[in-house]
Amino acid sequence: MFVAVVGLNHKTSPLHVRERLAFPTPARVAAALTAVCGRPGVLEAAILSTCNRTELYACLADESCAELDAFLHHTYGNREGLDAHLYHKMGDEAAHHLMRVAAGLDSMILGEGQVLGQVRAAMQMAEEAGTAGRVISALFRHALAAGKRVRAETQIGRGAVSVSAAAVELAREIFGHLSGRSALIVGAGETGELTVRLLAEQGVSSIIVANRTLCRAHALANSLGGSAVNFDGLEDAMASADIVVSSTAATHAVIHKDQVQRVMRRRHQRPIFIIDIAVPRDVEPDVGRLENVFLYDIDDLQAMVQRSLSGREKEAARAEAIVREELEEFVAWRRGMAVGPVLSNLQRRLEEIRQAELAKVERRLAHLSPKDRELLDLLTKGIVKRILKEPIRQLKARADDEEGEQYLRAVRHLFALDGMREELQCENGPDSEPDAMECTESPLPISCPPRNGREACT
Amino acid sequence: MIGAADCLFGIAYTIYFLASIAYGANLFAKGTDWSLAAWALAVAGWLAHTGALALLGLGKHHAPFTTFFESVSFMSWSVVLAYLLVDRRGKAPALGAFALPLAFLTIFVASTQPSYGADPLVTRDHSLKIHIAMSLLGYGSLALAFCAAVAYLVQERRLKRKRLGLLSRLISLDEADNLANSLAAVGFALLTLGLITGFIFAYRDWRGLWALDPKVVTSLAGWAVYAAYLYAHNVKGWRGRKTMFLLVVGFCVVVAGFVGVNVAGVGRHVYRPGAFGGDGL
Repeated sequence: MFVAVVGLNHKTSPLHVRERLAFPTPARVAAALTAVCGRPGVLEAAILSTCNRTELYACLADESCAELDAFLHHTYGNREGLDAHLYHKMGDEAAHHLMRVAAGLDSMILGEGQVLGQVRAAMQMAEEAGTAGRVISALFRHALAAGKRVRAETQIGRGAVSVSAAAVELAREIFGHLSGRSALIVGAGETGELTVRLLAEQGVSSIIVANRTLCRAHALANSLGGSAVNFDGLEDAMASADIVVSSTAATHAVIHKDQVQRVMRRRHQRPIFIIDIAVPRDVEPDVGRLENVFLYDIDDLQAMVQRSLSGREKEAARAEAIVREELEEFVAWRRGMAVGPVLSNLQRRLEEIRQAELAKVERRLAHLSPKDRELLDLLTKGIVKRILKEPIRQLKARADDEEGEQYLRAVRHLFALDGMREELQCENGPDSEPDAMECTESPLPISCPPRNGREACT
Repeated sequence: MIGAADCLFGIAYTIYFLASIAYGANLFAKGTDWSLAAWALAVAGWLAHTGALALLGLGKHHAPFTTFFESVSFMSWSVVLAYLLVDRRGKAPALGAFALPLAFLTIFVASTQPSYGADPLVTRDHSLKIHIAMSLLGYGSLALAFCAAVAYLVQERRLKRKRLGLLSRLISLDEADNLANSLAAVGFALLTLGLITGFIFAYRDWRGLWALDPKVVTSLAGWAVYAAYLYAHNVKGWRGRKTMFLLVVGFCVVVAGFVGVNVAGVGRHVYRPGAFGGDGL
């Protein structure tokens, strides 16, 4: 068994490459999984496709990613354009990579949480497509565990990492929950609109759009589900709004101190949160000095974003440590899983030898009574069992460390166990020849995939 | 029984200290959430305190506020009670970070003061008992309203000065405002009841210009501040920093009346034999 990942992400490839290799719908993923598992040597597979990455995880019969590459080349359409962007990782390195991805350590925005859900979805899609067997399932389970632990035990996902998220975070500090609050958006700037949409997602119910030209205000208000006013109605709108988001393209201030002073009197000093994300600024800086007015401009919000990003970087070391712990768990599982079949093959090999040796002396023992023959049989079995007792104990005891892995390899070579797998595990396959060859390389109990070629290596 | 009461009181006092640390850690820490542990400690401390007060009352056969120290202890108990009533699920740890240290510190300061027993009249007269109980429970509620107001002012400064790195678990302005308002309303009602029962007692038993007793004067002044706050907030709809200052001022006036007269030893509200019934002034 060899775990491998071939893929590309936002660091290795530009958008136009990523979009050509994306699998945006579950149906596309399922079709791709079926296709990739139909290739020789691919035993299990899962695809993680997000806007920042496309990664093909597979459990392979041998240590070559050629089939995965070939599949990706085929999907992409040509070879030359793609190879420069692809990365290949094998074995524990591939597992480590998936865990880092799930923990948000490989994301464009460090510690972002969405990718964890996408990893889970990738696993579910592979399970539904029937291409996730023991190895891929275990790999993804461990990666999800790593991601969850990182989110729970570190602060890596904390703090706003965009200007609009920072605005929402501040609004929460002023108003607590945002349901039932009202927001006023001044001007029709893009960040402003984004911020108001984010506020609406958090429960802000009433939205007013104020614009110099009423016509554009109406257009935006319709798309946000709010009402529209022109600048004449600005003061009235401010008197009733809790949160004001200003992002006009005006070259001078739109909201003045005396105006806000009047508004505050009308509001009976009820706190107001003004977010000025326009450059040049829309709100006179002096407005921020008024009591119960909380004025934040783009620099303030960006400083918040910067602070949470550097906070996340500090947390990354702790997150990496958690990922390493989970990786060790996975490696221990993988090693433990390798022991069982070697032991049974070893026992089987010695049993074969015993029987072959007994068969050799069969004639010369013809004079023995059935009882004596039975005794002889028991005696030889006892010897084999006694010989195997200590090695088996040692192999089991060291199943999850590196030394154990070396022992296992040695036993496989010394007793020529790899050659056995053919007859052992592929005997039930109707036409086992080609697959049997693929199986031979694997130290794991990989039964030969059935003929449709998409069954996982369970 | 008094020994058991003292023992339980010591336990309550220790737990309040631990809860204060847990709440403080929770407020300043960025990582682990200590709020539920702190809340559980507050509940445990309050239960021990309740037990101590009950044993004290049963042991001495009188209400557990006949000395200055007992009264302060009873007021602390009512602060924690008010906190646990407004935060029944441990969801407002920021308030606890003000309430529990306040409860702990008032007991601590009171324990350093010489504690005189009150006029024996306190242990006999029921209207007087009701007057004291109402007033002390009212102080508890007002103390917590003061905590919420301080939390509001701290949060307001933090947001205004844009120093957002620290105290990220502080209560939001609106929540602090709502809590302060409800607590002030309850405290005001209790204070009013305390004043009325006090007037009935004074009218019946005191002669002379009892309305000029320093405690009566400060209580009436405090009552007026709270009345002004409730009028501005709930009738006129005023909000913001200044309304919070009213709560801070109101509480300071009430505390000045309660502590001041005892420290200065003036008037009839001093915990000493003969003070209540005497015709002093």
